[in-house]
Amino acid sequence: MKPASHGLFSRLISRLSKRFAGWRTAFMISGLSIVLSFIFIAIAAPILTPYDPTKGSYNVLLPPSAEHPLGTDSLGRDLLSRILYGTRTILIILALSTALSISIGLPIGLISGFYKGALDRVLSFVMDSIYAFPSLLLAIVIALMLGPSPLNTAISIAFVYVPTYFRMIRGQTLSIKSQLFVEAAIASGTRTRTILIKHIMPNLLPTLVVIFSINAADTILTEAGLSFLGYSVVPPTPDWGYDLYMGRYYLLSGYWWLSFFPGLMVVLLSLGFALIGEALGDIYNPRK
Amino acid sequence: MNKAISRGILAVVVVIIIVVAAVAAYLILNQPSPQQQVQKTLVIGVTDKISDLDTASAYDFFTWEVLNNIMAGLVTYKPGTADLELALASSYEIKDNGTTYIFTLKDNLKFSDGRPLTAQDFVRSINRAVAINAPEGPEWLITSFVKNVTAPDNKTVVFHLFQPVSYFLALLATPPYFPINPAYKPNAVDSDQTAGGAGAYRITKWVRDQELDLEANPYFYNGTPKVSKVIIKFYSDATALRAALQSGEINIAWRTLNPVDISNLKSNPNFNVIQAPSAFIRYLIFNTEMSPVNNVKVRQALAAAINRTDIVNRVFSGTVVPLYSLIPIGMWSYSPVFKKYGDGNLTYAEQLLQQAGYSSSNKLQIDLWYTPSHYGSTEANLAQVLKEQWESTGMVSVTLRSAEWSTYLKQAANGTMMISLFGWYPDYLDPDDYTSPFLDASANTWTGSHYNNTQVNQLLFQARGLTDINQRTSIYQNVQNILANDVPFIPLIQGQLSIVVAKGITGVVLGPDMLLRYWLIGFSS
Amino acid sequence: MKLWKYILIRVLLVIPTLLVLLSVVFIVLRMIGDPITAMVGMKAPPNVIASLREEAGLNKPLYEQYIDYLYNLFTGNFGTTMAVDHRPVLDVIMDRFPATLELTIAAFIVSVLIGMLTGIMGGWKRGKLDASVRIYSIVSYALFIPWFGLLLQLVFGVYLRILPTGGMADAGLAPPRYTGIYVLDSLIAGNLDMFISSLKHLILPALTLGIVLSGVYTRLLRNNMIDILGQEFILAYRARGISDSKILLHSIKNAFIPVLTMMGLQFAILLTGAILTETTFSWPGLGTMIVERIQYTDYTAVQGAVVFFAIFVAIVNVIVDIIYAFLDPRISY
Repeated sequence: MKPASHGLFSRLISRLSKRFAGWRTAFMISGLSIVLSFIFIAIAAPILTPYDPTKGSYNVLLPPSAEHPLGTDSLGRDLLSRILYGTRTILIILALSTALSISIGLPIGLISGFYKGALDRVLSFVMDSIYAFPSLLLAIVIALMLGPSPLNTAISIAFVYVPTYFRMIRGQTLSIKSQLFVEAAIASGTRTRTILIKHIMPNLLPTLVVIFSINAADTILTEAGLSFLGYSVVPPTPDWGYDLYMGRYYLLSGYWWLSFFPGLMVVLLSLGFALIGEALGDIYNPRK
Repeated sequence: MNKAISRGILAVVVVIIIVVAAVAAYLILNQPSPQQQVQKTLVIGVTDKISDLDTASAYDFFTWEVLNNIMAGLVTYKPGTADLELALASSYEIKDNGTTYIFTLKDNLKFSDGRPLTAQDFVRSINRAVAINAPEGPEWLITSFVKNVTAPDNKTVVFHLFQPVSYFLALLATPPYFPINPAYKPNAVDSDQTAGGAGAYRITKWVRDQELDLEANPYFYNGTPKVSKVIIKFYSDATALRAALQSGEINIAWRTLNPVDISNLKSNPNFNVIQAPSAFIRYLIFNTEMSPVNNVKVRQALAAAINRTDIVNRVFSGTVVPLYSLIPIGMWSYSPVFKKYGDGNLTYAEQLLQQAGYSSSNKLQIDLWYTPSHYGSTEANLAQVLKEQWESTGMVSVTLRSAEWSTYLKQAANGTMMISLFGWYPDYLDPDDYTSPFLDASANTWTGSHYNNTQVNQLLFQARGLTDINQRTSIYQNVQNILANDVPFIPLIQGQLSIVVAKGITGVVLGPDMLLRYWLIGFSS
Repeated sequence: MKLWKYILIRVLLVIPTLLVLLSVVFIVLRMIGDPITAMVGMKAPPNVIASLREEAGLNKPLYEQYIDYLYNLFTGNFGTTMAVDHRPVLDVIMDRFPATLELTIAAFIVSVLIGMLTGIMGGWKRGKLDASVRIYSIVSYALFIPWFGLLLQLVFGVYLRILPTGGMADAGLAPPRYTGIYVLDSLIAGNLDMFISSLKHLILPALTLGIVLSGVYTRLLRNNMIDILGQEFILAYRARGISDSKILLHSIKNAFIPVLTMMGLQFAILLTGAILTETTFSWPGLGTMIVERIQYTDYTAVQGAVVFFAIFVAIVNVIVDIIYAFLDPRISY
């Protein structure tokens, strides 16, 4: 069972895109269907495969067959099961890291953008400096410091993306603050907390969704990169990047499936988010 | 920007595209085969690194191999064996109950640049290594045993030892005892010095982490190497090493290919796989004071549940051998004491666990530690297979934990790890180096096993002072039996050296000293 | 002059930027496992370990370590590596840096070339071609470097056997070291075999990294082209009968300026990609150096390399900003 069965979807997409006469819709629909099928896989993994992804057997390095559609790995584990359960690992890390980045980036971005002044200048400067630094390197160093676990991976990725959220939230806050209804609220003496929560926060939501979808594609690649280099979760937890890394050792001996399929999953999921991001990005481009 | 500039940019872009396309086409059509370029040059690929080309600080196997090819000592191992033979020395005698060794040098010895080599060069080199006292260095191989070294005349080297050392000749075969060229800085580590000593080869070029070029030393005491030019190519990982072997870029893939590549290349008609036992061993350490593994029954049960054949096949693709003692197979006094527990003997394991009070409802909860990169890419798999094997008793639940090498070492010394995976490379080929560092309570603090058995301590001390090999053998066998009863360590596997050579390469000899001798290798015509 | 003032301020701002980055590096790295035990290994007696800790200043209070750390860095003292070779860290970095530079420059050229070609085509032609260009930009962005590199290695290295899968040159064909950039050194040495060998080794890594990064330029150029072509003066040009090729040149020129800013932003991403590309192709650059040294827990080497990256990124960003200020008079400073 493969996610996003291509024939059907592409036909659907082309029909839809003709009707709506816009690539944006096509991107949105294909992106959403990829992401939703991955979420479905993550939830339904135990139903989709009879094998335990961490339990080995003596059937090592079997090529793809009816019994093991994607073959088995060097310890005799069913690769399809590992990949399906691996969806859980990466989605959990994505959710955790996003939650962390937002819970740090949102408040400081909001405060920075609303109050401005010296604090804003210092915060912006620090965030810009971190933003310019190669993200994977920073994540590696933090992951190394914390030791391998899904939560720690999420923390190190979150750290890298806080500046992105901060910059966007701050920028949006600035522009919302200058809008009439907020100025009116300030002039009428409404409490600052009420302004922040009632007037500004709801208007930040669309921005958050856009940044999330664009960041998610990046986060997937960063997580996969981290575990490819061996700094993410502890085996035998199924993890695409780690399986790709281990599979690479078997590539030249002809066991291509060990590295091909995990890598393909990374690319597909990242593509799903990138498509959504592209569709939303037409509305609003946070890179500028 | 005006029109001229923009037209200029376009022109440049077009030119770049044309040039790139032309070069690509040229490369594809006119591909020079790598074999043609290296006709009479032997190219050896490795993933190891050279640390320092200095006997005073180098202390790792691969660098020692290179030093053995560009330098020589008084004695050396006969290729392919653990027997010592004379090298730069022509004879020796032992006096004063084994505390004085007197060596006479061969005639007309020369360094590889043609300078004469005398007994004073030995004294200078050895004293230099001691004086420099490099961090992480091998000078203890001298200072722990040698009181002083002198040269009464140009052809005589005399060692005075603190006390008799049964394995002193083996120590003399290690690089800290090699004479080095006077070009080495006298008072400091000279990492990049390429002057070498009096070995079969001399260095013509060295680019760190990329390439080491060697040519035959015309002054070598032991004839002419079969191949006059040797290149060592350094690769950053085993997959790249294998790819280079298959593309013909290298003739020999040496330390260290992936296990799966070695077993896979065995069936490839273009290559020969040569294997020999190595002196490297892998084992588990228990913290014998930490509950629940402070119970000897638990440790014995875990020993019984381990299936070494399964580990050898699934983790190492058959490239290592099962090991049933801390002393490696092939070394005198070796006794497979752990065979009494069987291999994957689940019935026995379950029986022992029940005696210790565990059952399928009241499971034994243990932590197994490993370090992900220090022992190669197979380490995580090794930990996972052990977990599987123990859990297949149905009475054990294993949590895998990992730490980077430095943290790992610290945790071992502090005794904070319940069960941990370690490996051991010997410093000298003697049963003492496989027993004392583990079982002697005064030497095993680094393991964190807290193992302290008075009888064992005494036996080991006694063996060190004896010179009679039969007496020593019976003591080490006794020690091994106690080890198998107390189970503070479980031996798992013994490494195997594997070297893959292209068809037509001859003279690859591997021995227990694990060093490849480049000068014996040649091309069959 | 206003421009000079801007440049001066921009250059001065590097100092606080670096301070922020160096502090982050310090905080993060001081918490990894004990570097001294890693260095001396398990056979060292405890008193040796204690004296080495003392020597490395690891038992001083944290703030003193921090001041020492900053002082050493600003005096160009990166320390000595703690594992394998015990050489000055800066020497080790300088051994590896040219390889990274060679890879990133080549990948940069590939990405800008591909990005320009596809972006301009998409923006100019629209329709079906434009659609495939947009899809290309999204897919290339989503590519996972180790996986994509692996595919290229399989196709060109293992099946077609026309390109090497790793390293920088064939055995015996490593050029003498002038700059450390192989393609350049082999030209300086005037050796065609060496030049071809280094170029062949460069192709796959540069393509991998270049293609993955090209999508951003594709997208940006395409969007800019469409913006410009939709502007009134272009319509006016067309009405006056000015030829298509002139209009194309004019719009490319204008579409290109914002791409320059993107180059600065992309630089950090380029370096991130370089770490994965180097690992995939066993390219002996800074990325593989960091990965190797982390394995040895060579704490000073990792710290040195990360700091070096920070300085490098900061400097490149300044240069890009300054070039941008020269080229685009509309920038406010």
